Amino acid sequence: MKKTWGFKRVTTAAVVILVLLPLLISGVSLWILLRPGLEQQQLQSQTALARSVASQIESYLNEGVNEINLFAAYLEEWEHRIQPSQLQEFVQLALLFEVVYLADDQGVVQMAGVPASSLIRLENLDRLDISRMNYFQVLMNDNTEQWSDAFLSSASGDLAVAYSMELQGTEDYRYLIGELSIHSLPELLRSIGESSGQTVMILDAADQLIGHPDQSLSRQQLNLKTLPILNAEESEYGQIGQYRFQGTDFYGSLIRIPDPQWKIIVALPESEFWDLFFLVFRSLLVVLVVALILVVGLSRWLGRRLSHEFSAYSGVVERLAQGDYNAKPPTSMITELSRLSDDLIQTGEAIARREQQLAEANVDLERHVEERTRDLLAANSEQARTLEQLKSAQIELVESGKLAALGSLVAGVSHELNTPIGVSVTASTSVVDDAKTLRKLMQEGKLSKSDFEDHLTHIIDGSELIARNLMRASELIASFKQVAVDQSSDLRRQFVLTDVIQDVVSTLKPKYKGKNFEFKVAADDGVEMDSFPGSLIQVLTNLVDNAIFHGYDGFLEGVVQINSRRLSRTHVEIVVEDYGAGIDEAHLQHIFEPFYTTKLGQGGSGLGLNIVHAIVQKILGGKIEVASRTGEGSRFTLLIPVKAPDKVRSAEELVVIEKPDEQHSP
Amino acid sequence: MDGYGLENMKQVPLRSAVGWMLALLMLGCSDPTPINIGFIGPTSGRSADLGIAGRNGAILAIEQINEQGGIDGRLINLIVRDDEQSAERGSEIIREFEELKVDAILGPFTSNVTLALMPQINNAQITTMAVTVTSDLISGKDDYILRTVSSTADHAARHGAYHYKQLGFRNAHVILDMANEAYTRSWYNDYSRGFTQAGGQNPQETTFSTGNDVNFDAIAEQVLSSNPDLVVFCTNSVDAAALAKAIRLQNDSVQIATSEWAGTERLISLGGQYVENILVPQYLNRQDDSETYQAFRRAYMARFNQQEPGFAGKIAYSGAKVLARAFAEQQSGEELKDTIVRLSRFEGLQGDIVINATGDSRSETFVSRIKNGQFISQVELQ
Repeated sequence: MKKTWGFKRVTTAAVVILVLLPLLISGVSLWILLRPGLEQQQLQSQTALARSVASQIESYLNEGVNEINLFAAYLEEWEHRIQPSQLQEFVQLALLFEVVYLADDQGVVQMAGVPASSLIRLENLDRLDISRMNYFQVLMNDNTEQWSDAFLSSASGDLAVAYSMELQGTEDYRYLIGELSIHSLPELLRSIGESSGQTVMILDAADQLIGHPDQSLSRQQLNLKTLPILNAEESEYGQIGQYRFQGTDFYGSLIRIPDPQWKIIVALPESEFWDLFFLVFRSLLVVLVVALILVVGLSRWLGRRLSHEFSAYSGVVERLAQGDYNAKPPTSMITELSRLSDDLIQTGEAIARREQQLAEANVDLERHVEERTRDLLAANSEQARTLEQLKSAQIELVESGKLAALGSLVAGVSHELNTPIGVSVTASTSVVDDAKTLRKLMQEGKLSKSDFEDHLTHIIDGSELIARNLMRASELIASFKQVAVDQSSDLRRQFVLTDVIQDVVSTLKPKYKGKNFEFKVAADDGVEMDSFPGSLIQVLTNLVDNAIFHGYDGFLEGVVQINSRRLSRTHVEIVVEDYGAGIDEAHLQHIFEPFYTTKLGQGGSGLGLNIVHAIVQKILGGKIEVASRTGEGSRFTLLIPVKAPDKVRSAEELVVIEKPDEQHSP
Repeated sequence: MDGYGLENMKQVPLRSAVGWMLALLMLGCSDPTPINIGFIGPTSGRSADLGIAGRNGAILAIEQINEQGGIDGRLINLIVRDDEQSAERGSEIIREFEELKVDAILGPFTSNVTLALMPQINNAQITTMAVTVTSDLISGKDDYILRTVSSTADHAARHGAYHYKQLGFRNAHVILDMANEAYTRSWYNDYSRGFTQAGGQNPQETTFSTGNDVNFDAIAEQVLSSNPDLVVFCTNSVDAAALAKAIRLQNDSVQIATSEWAGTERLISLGGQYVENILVPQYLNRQDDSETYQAFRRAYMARFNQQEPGFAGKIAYSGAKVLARAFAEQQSGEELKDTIVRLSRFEGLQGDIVINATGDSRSETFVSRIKNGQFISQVELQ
């Protein structure tokens, strides 16, 4: 059965698709149109932030540089004759530095200062050897004042950067170093992060992470040399790229500070980088969901209503089908459905009307049928009786056909026997006369030798003539005896086809004595058959009779040609042909049908060819065809097996009236 | 910096929704689950040199492993946490590791923290490869904590004997940082045993607790008042540098030695001239010119701004490699620690590492002396 879908489902699906499709299209368009702009906007704001962080850090560090320079100027002004308390005071004022060292040219701290609030023990810093600290070695090598890479301060244990410079004019206070703790960087970056939503990281010149909103990450000197963004290509937004840090994928930009050579990375987790975009999508999604809910609800309601109405209609139609024409369809607000309701009501009424008429007509019809049935029953029994009679008539006809054949046989036999027997009678009379004459002459003594020899010769000749003719009669009788036996018994036996044809011709000739009909036989010699000669004789007799009776009807002379030839190892063909009137085309296809005759009332039963057809097919196991043309004669061709099939039918079976197959038509 | 991230960031729910939509358009393929190793060490504060070098060693090992395709295609993810050398912070970290279901832990670095975390780690059943933890208190336990270095019972005793016998010191004075007592006490006891068994008297001890406000001068004065011919620092590198300065400013002849703990590059940079000529035992033969060690050293210095790996870098690197091999050869149903004990022998940077049934190991110690700002390894103590 074809799969069907509920109305509710179909409406819902259709409406959902109608809503989803435009939304999806607009979503994809938004993605394509918005993305580049969004990216640019994000990068712009990231770069701006990075620059602002950079400038904050630069100004912060510059402030430190200014403070250090201020102190250097102060020292030089005082020709380095300062007390530790003055250094202390300076550090206290400077605010920025955690520790300030004054070291000699060996890198040994001569004086150090820490803010009053510091927990660092000043004594621990005194005489400290900083010559192997990285910042000091850089200063010795480059001889320029600069910021160091981040390092773990031995004083505070915190991550720090140092600004170191050389002072002029003294050995004891050769180097001035300010150690600036960067533990406040995370705080700064966190507040930036909170206000901007971006993650800001600072790397030093050695790519160590020195600033991260996460305080603990800032302290760890994590070396991020392998971060891909460090090698990203420069663009108008700095170096832009993607990287993975602490299990999160970031997308951001990196800009560099010239001094110290720090890098500022401003980035967003990739998921957030597209937040604005996602916001648009989220709104779209909300619209989508709300629209979907509405639409699905609406369409389901509509679907339910319509499907309810439809089931009501289908209920009405069902009731109509069951014969309840008073079923009232629902009233609907929809014009089409309302019209449908009206139509259904009218349909119901129309059907009811029509049904009434039908019922009346039915009563009439029943009466008619009854009457007709009675008539038919009467006619039927009449016909059955007639058929019964017809059947017995047919059997009689068949039997009389046989008798007729026997009759012509007897006529033929008596005719044939007439000559030899007549000759014999005449000859015997003559012999008797001669013998009497001889005896008289001998008694009278007048018997001469020549007379004796003459009479004796006569007697002997006469006797021989008698003997010969009697022999001939005897042969004839034997031959006819066989034909008679065949025709009356219809036994299966082996025979020579030519003999049977000759016998048929012999038996028929006397029947047409006195008329100029010639029987020509052309037959292959020695065709031996194992069949039913009586049936074959009956067939041939019938065909020859037919040729003369119908073909040469009104003719005084004519030729009936009988040919036979072996077609194959198993079959022979026998042709009976005349050159008479022929059969009209209209009759030709009916000639094998029972009771089909053109000579009704003139001796034609209409069964002859039907019986021939039946015998050929059912007894001899062959078939018969006819070809004819009006005015040119007819040709019946038999094709029969040399060895007849086993089953033999009785005469009753044969005459069952049956219509021969159409294949026998020419 | 692929490969060693923190926990995954909380995902924005919206992202999953959009992701779901995009998933309709794209066929994503996810990597096999990474192996998570939790790193716990002091990467800030006064012992940070230990933790940082160790973390860098671990990063190097894992970057190398991941570059070669990981363990059967699974990448290793290092989750780095700073214990600030505090047991409380350490405990929080172990709890976090437990929640993150890390596959193994690398660290801790200091004995005190390790000892405090031991019950928690065993309870969590996470195989833990301690790095520079050498306290005897950890030894001989069939638990989840393993290590690739000898305990103090082994090497501190050897030092004591060496100082007495080979170097001829008779009056040793040991300064102990009680903030890492689990280590320093264990070290002192074993050192004293070695020293006395060799024929010496029990070394004297002075204790302090590390911090910015420690009066090192006073400690130096107190120690020197006992007239020692050898002062031994059982402290971290920062304190060792400060103590060396304090002692040298009062006495320029007494021999100074340290335990292995102080033997980092930071001792030299902070100590400057004051740490010249002091004796520093090392879990590392600095003069090793074998290709295995040199290749490691080159890679480490190239990756980490020309810093020396030091012993912490070396041990953490080896520890990470031991864990990696154990992951590769772990049989189904087998605990990782049992895999390590089963495999037992691992290729190290300076000779094989052999781990026994209780997860302890025996490693060589080298005595080095600081000359011109360099550690010069002199003797291998057997």
